[in-house]
Amino acid sequence: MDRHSADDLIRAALRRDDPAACELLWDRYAGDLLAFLQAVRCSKHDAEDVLQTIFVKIVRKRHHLAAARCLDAYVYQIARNEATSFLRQHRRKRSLDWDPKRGVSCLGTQSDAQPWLVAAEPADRSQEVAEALQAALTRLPPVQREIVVLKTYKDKTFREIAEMLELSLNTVASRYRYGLEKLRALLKDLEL
Amino acid sequence: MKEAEKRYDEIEQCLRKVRLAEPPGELKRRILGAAQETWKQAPAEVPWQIPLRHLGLSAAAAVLIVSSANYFSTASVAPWQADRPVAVRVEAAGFEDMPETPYSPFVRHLIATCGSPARDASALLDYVQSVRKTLDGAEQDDAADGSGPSEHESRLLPVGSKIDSYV
Repeated sequence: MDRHSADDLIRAALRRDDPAACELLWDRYAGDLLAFLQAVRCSKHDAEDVLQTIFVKIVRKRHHLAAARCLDAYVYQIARNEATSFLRQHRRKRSLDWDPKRGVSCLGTQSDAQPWLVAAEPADRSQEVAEALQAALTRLPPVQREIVVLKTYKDKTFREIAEMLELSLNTVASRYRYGLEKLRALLKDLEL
Repeated sequence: MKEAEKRYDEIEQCLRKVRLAEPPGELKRRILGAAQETWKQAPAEVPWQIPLRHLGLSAAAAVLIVSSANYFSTASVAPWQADRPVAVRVEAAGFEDMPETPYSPFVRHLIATCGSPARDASALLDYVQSVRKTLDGAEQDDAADGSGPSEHESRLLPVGSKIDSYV
């Protein structure tokens, strides 16, 4: 099923006020949203929690979504808002019980042992490579990381990412290139 | 440029050695369960009600702002206006109502159609002429008394002089 027919099905179900729309929304967005949230949060647990909040919010605003001009933009706007709000709450909580020994570049990175990247094919050092790549991606700024993840692992085009994140095409392309350059330097150290 | 592209390809190939972990089935059940529960509980907002509600809120806010501005302006001006006399509107006298207009009906018509500047000039002329007549009367009275005002002679132009050309 292509993107437009999936969007039409979702809109029709939302207009009928049919709860089956939840399943359609899951099939259409869950994978992409989880990737996006994992890229932003660097944490599988947090991403899953935020994903649940996003779905609940989408259900509450289902008629706004049905009337939205672009489903993707609306859904990702909710996702960004929820991720930002979650991040803010987490920071506040972290600042209360701040541990100076834990130098983290991304919230939840060190404490969250669950990997969000897995080896594509089983090989000798596949687990090691996955961990190294996850560590390298974690060290990118979130604005670059989310674009690298969406482009590399969800095969999104620059145009699609620009629409999702409401950025210009040039911004997306340049952030992606900066991200790759940084990753190159990081991976060189890891000798991958 | 090609070198940069080559570098990016290498990094992309390296990144593709791994993939994102798929959302587990348990997560799907949990999230869809929560979403459908919310669906049942939360009444859907009917789309046509949304602009109507916005309109109602905007109208209520506008009424509140205007009425409060009105109230506060009246309240702040009230003590200042309390001791002042009430202004009375007085209708301006029309030129046609003036008695003894020295012009013919045609000239009056012209003045009426030309507008206020012409009316002002002729009214001024009338006024000047009436003042002149008064002063002439006063001079004649002085002459009759025999004490002609050598130093206090009127410097006004005699009646019928070139002042008529100003009209």
